[in-house]
Amino acid sequence: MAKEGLDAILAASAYGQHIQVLFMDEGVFQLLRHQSPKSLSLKSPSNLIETLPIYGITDLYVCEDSLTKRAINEELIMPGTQCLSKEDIKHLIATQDAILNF
Amino acid sequence: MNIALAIYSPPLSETSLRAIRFAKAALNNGHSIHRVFFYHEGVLHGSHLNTALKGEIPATDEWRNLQQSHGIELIVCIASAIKRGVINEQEANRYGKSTHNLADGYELSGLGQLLESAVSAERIVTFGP
Repeated sequence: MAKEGLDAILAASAYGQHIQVLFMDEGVFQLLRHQSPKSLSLKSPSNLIETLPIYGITDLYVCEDSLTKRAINEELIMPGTQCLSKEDIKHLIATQDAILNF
Repeated sequence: MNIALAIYSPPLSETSLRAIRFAKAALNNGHSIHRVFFYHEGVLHGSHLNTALKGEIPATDEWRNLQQSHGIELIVCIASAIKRGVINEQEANRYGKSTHNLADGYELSGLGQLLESAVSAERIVTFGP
């Protein structure tokens, strides 16, 4: 549901909400740079994610554990995303008014 | 408690059935459900052509019954729906389709409805994908 999740993020920003985005589990693959989806006639989610700051969405987080489990080095993912530990994620979730997961 | 639901799974999936059981349990226990938002594959609930065979649970009708008995809004994401062949008369005209199939009681609308639910309900509960 990568595309649907990003669409919801953009809609939420149009709705004037303060949005924080956490990528975790398989979702971290969306942050990989240098993807070549064109050969499959698809669009790269990371291209869309890179445009999020233009829409005022700058709080992008990624689960450190999810990266480690998939052997994804931080250098392979988009710059501007902040790595969070399990404890950090607990705090992030606890401080939200509403949570949508995709 | 005022609860909103978001359903991302198609009818006949275990998750779809769980959502129906959850909604009935919540309503039976005095909670209210203002809106169900169908997104992604969940939009397939909105076709009146869905036909349950004997012994199966007709998810489209089950939600329609809850809509009638409890006034729950059944909102189907318009973008996800037209891509999957769930379409009302207006969209059928817009895209030059010869027929339409959105079930009675269901409405096509945008993602704003999901976000409005997330903000206004005390809890939003997601089912799927």
